Amino acid sequence: MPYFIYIILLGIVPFATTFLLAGVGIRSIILVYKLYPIYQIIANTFIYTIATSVLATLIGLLAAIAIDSINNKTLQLIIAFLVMLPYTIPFTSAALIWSISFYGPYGWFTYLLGLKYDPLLLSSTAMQGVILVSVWGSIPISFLIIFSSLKSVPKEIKENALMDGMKKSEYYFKIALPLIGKAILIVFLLGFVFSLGAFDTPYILTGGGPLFSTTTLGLAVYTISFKSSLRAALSGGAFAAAILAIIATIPALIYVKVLKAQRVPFPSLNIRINDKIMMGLVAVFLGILIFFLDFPIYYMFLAAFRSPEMDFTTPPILIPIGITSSYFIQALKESIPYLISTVVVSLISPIISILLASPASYEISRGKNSWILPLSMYLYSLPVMAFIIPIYIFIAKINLLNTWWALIITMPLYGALYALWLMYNYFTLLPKSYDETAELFGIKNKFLKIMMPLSRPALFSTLLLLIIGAWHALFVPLVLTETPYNFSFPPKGAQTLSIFALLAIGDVSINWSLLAASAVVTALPVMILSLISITRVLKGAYSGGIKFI
Amino acid sequence: MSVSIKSLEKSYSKTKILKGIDLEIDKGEFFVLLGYSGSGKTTLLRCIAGLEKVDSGKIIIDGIDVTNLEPSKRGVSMVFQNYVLYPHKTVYENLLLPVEGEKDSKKKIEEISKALGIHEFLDRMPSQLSGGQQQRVALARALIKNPKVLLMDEPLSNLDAPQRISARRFIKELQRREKITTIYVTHDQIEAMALADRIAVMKDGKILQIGKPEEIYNDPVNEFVGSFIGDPPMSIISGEFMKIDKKIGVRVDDVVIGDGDLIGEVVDVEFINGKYLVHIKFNGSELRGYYYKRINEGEKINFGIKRYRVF
Repeated sequence: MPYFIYIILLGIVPFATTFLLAGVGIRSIILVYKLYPIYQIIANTFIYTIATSVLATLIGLLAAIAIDSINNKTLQLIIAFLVMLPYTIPFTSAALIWSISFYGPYGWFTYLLGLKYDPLLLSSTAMQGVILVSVWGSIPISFLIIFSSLKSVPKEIKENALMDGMKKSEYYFKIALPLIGKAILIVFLLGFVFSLGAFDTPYILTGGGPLFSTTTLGLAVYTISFKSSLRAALSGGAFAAAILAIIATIPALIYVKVLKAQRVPFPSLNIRINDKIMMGLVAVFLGILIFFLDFPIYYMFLAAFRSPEMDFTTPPILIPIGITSSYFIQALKESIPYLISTVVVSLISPIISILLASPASYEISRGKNSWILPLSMYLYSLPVMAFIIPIYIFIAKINLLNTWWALIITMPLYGALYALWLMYNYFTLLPKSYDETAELFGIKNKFLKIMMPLSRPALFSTLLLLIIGAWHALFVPLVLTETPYNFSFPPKGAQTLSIFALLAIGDVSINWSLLAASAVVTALPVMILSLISITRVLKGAYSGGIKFI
Repeated sequence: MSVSIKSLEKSYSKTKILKGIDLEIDKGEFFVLLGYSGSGKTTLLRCIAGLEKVDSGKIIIDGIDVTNLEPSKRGVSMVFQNYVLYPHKTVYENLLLPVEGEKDSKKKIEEISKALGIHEFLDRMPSQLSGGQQQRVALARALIKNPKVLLMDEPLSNLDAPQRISARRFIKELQRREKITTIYVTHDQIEAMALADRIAVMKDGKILQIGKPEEIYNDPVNEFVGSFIGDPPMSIISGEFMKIDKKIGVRVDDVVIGDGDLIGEVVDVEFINGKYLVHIKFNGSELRGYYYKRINEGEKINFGIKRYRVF
């Protein structure tokens, strides 16, 4: 089975090799120990991970309840959509925007809070800033999973509770939440495993500083392996990666176990609030939340389409005046080589992922080799740092560093693991009698002829999610590429748009227009795909369908 | 013998679903497997289809042992409860699937769709058809390969009442015309009575009785069959008052109300099909009989028993 061979070669083998590398270079490990405050880095990782996953789950949960409690369906959809908006912005763009939002008296966020300094520049507050941005980016997906689970609670249960004289708050905290306990736990665990391997946010916002105050393990793997001048840098990085892999294994195993569980107990809380007061709270909460979530996006467009002089004012100008598209056009022109690489890679690698994963997920859903599923989910929930160093060495050995091939070979790993899960869920819902009919009538090639065409909508949704994921990727391109595409043949140079946006960080103190315009250029194409994807998922949640966790 | 089944056994994990089934079905026969859910009737059908592997026993179709053959090699076809037409293919394409690659596939589709009155729907998608029409398409797809045996799993249960009656007649006429050996699974005894040449009543993985509908109705082998078959079913009461120390079963038509030397109390009266179904409390249990006029609940009445069966 090609899927299995692929995940062995790019998942299991590199994972094991990481540990070998970490073991080989004892001396370099000691060196790393001396140069890097490893305990502080581990502590940072935990603070960052726990704060992000707890806050994102909690706010996502409250948002889901708040929106579900609104009676008007159209209004529900609109607000859900607004809560989902940050999901459409690649993390690189988002972090860029936040870096200028924190810019002391000129940044809108710090200005509104009355801060005269940039919190990212002080070791005492930098972590809080990084966590804030990380939570901002994690709320939408937490919200989406919990919201669609709430929608899957049968309507009769809600109606029955309200007819029994329960208040809305009682329905949610006593009945609905215990019913969807599994989804809530999954959201938390997923948030946890993803923030453990977080790289983008601290890397862009602070680069791990000041000093090591925001360096997490994921970031340390990168800086030790690829940015230090140590002789045995790679095995030192592998050491950090191995620590990360070991730490990540526990929540990853719990995650796999919870996915398989039928139900997860969840405490039933006795919260009785008058319906009118509750709706008032809902309005206030959603108002603040939507402002927090969506204002940065508005600000990104605002800053991208005006000149830099308008950015450095106190108080900051927050209304659209002095609009010009010249910075956007400049950024667009400069982005072209990056854009080409991104389009190539984020179209080809999702297609490879789906080709690998869909036959495998079909077989697993029909009871064959079903142990591959938990194995895949385990690999999926490990941070990419656990694999990257051996992959880097391998790609370097076959002389493909800094080419499209490097990304096309590597990126389908997470895509295929994720697609396996999504398609597996879809295929298990597909009635078995479709297979039986095919068997009975001796239909040949039933997978290609029957199952694939039947799953067109699911395949399309999966493809969209994978393209979005590939477009957002920063870590893998950063490690495996060095220069932008040089328009030669065979193609050489493969830096992606997310790296292009990253390069704009140099402009943070000079030209915010260009920086924001780069963020917009990076975000715009994928925003459209994300909007389609979100609409599909939200509509799916209403028809009680899509299971995408 | 078209289908013969010998000491068939089947279990899922540790539960035995089929506990030694023996069955002989004649060529051209309309054979109904009747039982409540959990009786094993659907599992038996799926074993004959080859969709389930059996633990032991033999399935022989037209003299060939098919026990270990793939479903498509057995010469059987099946109509599923929810028809299972592929939603992404037109009616024509659905009919083509079983005969794809055969030379006269086009002609076969032509013939069968005319025979089943679905010729005008060939270009439509299944979702554009009514339940009854979908079922005809499923039947056509099942018949297009000229199967030796046609299997049907509760094919009427997804239709609403008026459609069900006409579909029932349609299936019966088709079966008689084509003389195709048919095994039909249902939990509805009225459906079984209306369609079957012979019925096998199943319970807990065993066949309790095989016979013509009349035989099963008039001579149930035990209490269960007696109280399962008939609407209303047989009344089962203690035979003590007749000096029989077993239970006896009495059909509703064999209770004569207003005449006889037994006395009971009317507990309920229902108006059914122009007659009154009277529930009579007698000797601590209940009997049912028809009467031509309404009687008041609580009244004492005389009645007699024409015929009964001892279990």
